[in-house]
Amino acid sequence: MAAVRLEGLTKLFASTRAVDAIDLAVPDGEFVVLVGPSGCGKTTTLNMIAGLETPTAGDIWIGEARVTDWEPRDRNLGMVFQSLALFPHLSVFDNIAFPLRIKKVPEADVAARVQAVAETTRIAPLLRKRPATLSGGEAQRVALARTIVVKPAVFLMDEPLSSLDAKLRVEMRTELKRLHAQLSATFIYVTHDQAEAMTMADRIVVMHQGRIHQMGPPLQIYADPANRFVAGFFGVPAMNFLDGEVVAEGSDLRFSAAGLRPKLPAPRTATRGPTTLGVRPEHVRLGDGADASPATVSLIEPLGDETLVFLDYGAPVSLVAKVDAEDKVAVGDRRPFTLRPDRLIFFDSAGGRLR
Amino acid sequence: MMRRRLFGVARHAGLLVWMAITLAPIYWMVMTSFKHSGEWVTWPPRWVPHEPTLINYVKVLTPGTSTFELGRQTLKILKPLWDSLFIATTASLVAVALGSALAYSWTRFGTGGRRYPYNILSIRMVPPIVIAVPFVVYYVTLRLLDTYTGLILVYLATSLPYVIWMMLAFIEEVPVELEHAARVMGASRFRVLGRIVLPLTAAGLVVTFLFVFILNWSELLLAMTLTNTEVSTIPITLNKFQSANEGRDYGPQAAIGTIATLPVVVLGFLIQKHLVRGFSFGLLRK
Repeated sequence: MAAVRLEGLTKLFASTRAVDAIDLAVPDGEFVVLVGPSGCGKTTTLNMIAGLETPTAGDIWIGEARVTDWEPRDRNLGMVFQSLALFPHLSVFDNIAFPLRIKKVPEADVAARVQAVAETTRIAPLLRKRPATLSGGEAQRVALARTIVVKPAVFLMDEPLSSLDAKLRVEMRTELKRLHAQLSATFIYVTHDQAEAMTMADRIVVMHQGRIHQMGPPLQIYADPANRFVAGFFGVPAMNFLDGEVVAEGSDLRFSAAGLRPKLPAPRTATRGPTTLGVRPEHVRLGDGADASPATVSLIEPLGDETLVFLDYGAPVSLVAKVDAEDKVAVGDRRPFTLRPDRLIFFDSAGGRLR
Repeated sequence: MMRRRLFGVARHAGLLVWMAITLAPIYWMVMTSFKHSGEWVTWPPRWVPHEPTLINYVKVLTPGTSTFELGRQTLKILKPLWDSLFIATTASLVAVALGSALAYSWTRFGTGGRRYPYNILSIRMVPPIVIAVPFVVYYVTLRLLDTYTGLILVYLATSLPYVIWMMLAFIEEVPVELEHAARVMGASRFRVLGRIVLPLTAAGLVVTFLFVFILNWSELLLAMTLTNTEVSTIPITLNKFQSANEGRDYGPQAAIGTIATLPVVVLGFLIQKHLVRGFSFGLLRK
């Protein structure tokens, strides 16, 4: 078991900074998810930890050892790839046995260990098959089994669920989480899917343009994003962003945008002038109130348990509200709405968070 | 349903006709090799030998030097046969080994720069006759004229571009993630080559070998220019029939032709499995 530490890790491709001086400490046994849009440097970071890419600058520590210039095979890692990378010319058994045979484990032990891991991953009946004949979920389990069989201290996973269909992906999330609990190894998981990150991570690391924008537990990232990028990346549907400004009105501060003038709760001093207000759809309430703004329903999207309501309040972009499905809303309805004052967050024009 | 069936019939008929066209000369050659001299050029043509004989084979395969008989020349081919086999096999093997190593290092590490394969390919743009004469000049100085080494070297040079380009295609089909996976699992670079890359490109290696072997086996121009008496290949020997003073000796010529096609046919059958096998890298979704 081992902790992983990155210090000023940097990777340049020609003149592009794919990864820009990243510092990250992953304690032993943590399930950390690197998440961000494609091209944000998350996979490059993972490949550097694995030793498949050489860092331009910075250091990588696994446990007590500085492994920056070690060969991948000396790092005691397990890695699951996006394509799964099962060897097509070997049977499932030989695929799982591959790392054991490389490490010269006696053949009798190989058979026993492959059998044991195949049972825990529920692929025992498949051992004689070729990878090409497996279903997506089966292939996924084989790839996991092949990684688990050598009991690595650190698991690296590069979007391993991206090739599965939606239902299976949700099942595998649970399975991976259970696996993490069983193995109590360190997991570093890369994905562009915010839902995967939210559901599995002990801690999320949000990356964008080669930098870490925020790290923290999933709910903290969701509720308290460090900047506009993080705020917009998490949550489906995305957070509403309203461009306007904070104005003083008597002793109150109000946010003013189109027909909208909600009162701001706490005393905010430094935030006058052009500002972007962020509010999540679930914090937009339909109904009259002291501070309600008028709006027309322009579109509805029923999700089953909840309904997304697009509200036209005079600005070019409609405001999305997530309301209970019981609440009967129809297109064309005039429905005033309020914003939950304690859940409003503000950003400056550069996208930084105003507190 | 009906249309599909008609199409199938038409397609097979077309293929049969084409097969007849391509196989007819070969059939005629093989049959002639079993005919007595009287049947070589009779009219109407004899499609099968009246009295099949091995005399033509005996003539060309007996040890000794080439002979004249009734003004006809009969050539002995044991020595050229061996020379051809040795030279073509060695040159092709070395070319496949070097060329695939080059192709691998170019695909994976960009060795030689982005334009490297194109530069190599430009070797093939030069007509052989252009390099034949300068090669003679070099070879005289280097004492490589009329030697095995000399011919092997020149065949190696002409085969390499083909090997590199064919192997580039095969190696690029092996997803680099497979190699990454093996390396993370503990394999050294050489192990990755032996356990992953080699098995997955085996079919490509075999096909490439066969391709350059056929090229080298049947090459005439450079062989004629760069050899004299010590080394002599099958194509040179066949060509010598043209210079017989009278009475072309079709029977022995056909026998040599049949013998010359044999290794290629045998190799082809041996590797048939690899030739027709598709490359299905099952689970790699891109």
